[in-house]
Amino acid sequence: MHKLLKQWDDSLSPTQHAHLDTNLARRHFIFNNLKAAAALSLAPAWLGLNGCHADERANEQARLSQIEPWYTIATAQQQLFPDDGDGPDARSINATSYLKFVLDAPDMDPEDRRFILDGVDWLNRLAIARYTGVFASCEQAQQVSLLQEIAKSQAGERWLSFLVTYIMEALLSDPVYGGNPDGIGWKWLQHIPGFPRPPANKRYFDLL
Amino acid sequence: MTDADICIIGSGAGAGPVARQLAQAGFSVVVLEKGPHFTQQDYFKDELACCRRSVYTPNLRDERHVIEDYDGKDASGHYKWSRQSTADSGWDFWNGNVVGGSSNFMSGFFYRLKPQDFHLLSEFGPITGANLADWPISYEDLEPYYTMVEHIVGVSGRFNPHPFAEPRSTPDFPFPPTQEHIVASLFDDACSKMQLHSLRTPRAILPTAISAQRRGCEYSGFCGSYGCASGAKGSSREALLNDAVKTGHCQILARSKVNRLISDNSGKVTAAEYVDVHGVLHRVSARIFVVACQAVETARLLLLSTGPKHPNGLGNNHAQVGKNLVFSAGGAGYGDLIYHELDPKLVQQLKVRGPFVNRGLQDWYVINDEQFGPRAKGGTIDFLLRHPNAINRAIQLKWDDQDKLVWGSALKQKLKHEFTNALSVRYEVFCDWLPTDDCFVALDSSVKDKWGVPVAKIRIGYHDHDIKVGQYLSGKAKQVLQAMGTKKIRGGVDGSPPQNLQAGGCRFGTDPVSSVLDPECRIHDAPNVFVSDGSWMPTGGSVPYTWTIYANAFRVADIIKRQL
Repeated sequence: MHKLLKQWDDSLSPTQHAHLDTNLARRHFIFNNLKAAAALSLAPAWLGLNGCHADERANEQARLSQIEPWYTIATAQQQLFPDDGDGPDARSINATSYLKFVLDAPDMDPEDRRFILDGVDWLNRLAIARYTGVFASCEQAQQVSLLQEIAKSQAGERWLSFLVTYIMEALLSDPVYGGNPDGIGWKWLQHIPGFPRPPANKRYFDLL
Repeated sequence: MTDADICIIGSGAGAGPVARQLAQAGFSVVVLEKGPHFTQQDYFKDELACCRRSVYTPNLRDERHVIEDYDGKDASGHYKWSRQSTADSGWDFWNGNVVGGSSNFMSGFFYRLKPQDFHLLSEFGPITGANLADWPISYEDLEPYYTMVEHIVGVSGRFNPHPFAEPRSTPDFPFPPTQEHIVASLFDDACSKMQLHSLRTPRAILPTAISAQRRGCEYSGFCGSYGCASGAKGSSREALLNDAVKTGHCQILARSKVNRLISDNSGKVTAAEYVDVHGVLHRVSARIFVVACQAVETARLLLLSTGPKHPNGLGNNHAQVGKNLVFSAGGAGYGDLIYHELDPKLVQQLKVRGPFVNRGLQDWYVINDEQFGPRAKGGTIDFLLRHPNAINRAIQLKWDDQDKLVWGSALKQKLKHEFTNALSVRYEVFCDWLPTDDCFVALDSSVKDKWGVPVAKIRIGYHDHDIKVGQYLSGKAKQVLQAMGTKKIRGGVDGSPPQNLQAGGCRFGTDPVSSVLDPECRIHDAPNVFVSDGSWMPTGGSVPYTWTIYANAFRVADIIKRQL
């Protein structure tokens, strides 16, 4: 393992290590947990969300994709959820602006927020060490290789896992939150949403 | 002069019947609920609100539990226990801190207990390591209240005679079944071939309107985990507390968290001390106090409520509060109806979202099978569709079989395949979680909530017999799934507790040394305090608890009326 990844692993706090252990255990924890069709709350409940109106999110997606650290994040998200001819990609579901929306939430765990944003730096440092340029400047194959390499470290896998989790939220949450514009993710996966759906003045953070 | 005749702490299934019945009888009632007061106008089919953020439950950074789980054995063969805060694990043991409690979010699978559930010890004999005890009341004592719940809360269904059917005082349910999904027919056909007794699962869901406030089910396809927007689901709020408030005798104080009950030199409780949303302390005095915070938090509140006659916590002079906590043992699994293998017309029917499967089996409620062993208590198997939550399902798919993260086109292909190629039929096994010394609630010695109050520590040990019964029933469920034509049948049974199905911790009995409550659910040495959530249950039966909690709370309401 590259020494940078070792350093990233070593930088994890005891709490973050506890989360890692739990996440590993929970992958096998899907059957008995919460019978009677209650919440399959496999997501960390400490994660929060706050935000702006949905129609602002698409514009925000384009804007963020030009500035750091969001440029790097958007590039990584596009590798994680690419435009491969089948279904929406990270860009078309506003994954970057959705992630910013999540990270800016007042109830977002500050340590997790810091971890996600710091991950950009670790990724770029590795990219420079391997290919003499930041992640977003690397060729496609190099980007894939870098993501595969960081996934072999605990911290890197955790970082990628966070990004994928929020891509899934951007893909399948109600469009009122800014991802999944016009239900593009629902249509692709033939998911039928329930009703009544949340109106703009009753998003979940309006209820807190 | 007290502030109220009755002060109820909590507002869920154990609280609603007491509030309604006492308020309608003209007594003044105050309900103290820690969470907010949402109405049906606040509930939407929003997966983020329902299941991925702390909207209906506390933020775990503010209020957590400490979980002690098995961690192998030491050199002398004794169990070791790991210790982890739920804020670190994300494994949330809160189930609905809002007016109406977790009954807002139930699926409403309503089964009665059966006569043998009231005397498990005498019926099946002792099991080494299990603290079995017969109940001090019988099924006949509770039957009128089960019937009351059918009418007042609203239970829909159709009675199917079968070998383990419990006696009923009425021939059938007051409300017809809700609409059924085509999978129910496939299930019926399979059961017919296997000579099993397909049961229509009774549901606390109204098929049609009974009032402007309680309309019929809208069949959105999202029920369990979600608050109901039509009033069809028989939550404590919708079915009972609204009636109580209408009398003018019941006041619900939301966002009011009770820290302790204050008792006098005689042992009686005189006031509930709570903190409001602004952090201001208040007290409510009453003639009768009813604790209904769900099993874990009820035990915690009693342990926190020390007094001159209760130096170790209210009702805890014999160190029984929090002991013999039970969950529901069993497991769950799936089988897939794979679209490309089926008639396209059937596929179209399978893709319909909204109606319920509403099917269950109780053919093995008692196991008479030499291959299993001596005659033993079995359980219930419910059949339903996979929960429709899409985000949680998608997130589970980010891991492969080797626990490695999947992304890129591989992830997209996996999502597409899993979401669009089949309909997953789910089964859930409910069997007794035997009470043991390794499953209990205590106050944690170091972790506190945001108000500086010690949190509950929950040890979640289980009995190996639970696994054996769960595996037996799971095997039967898989046979049914196979007969239904499902493929990729999988499932698991382990000792992880379903945290939404809690009971015990303050068992009732006639002996004050071995029980917390008397047979009327009154604390033995605090005669004006009742516990009316599921805490009283010495054994839990092999069905979801909610109907029984409702029924017993109606019974407790009658007892309180007589006492006042």
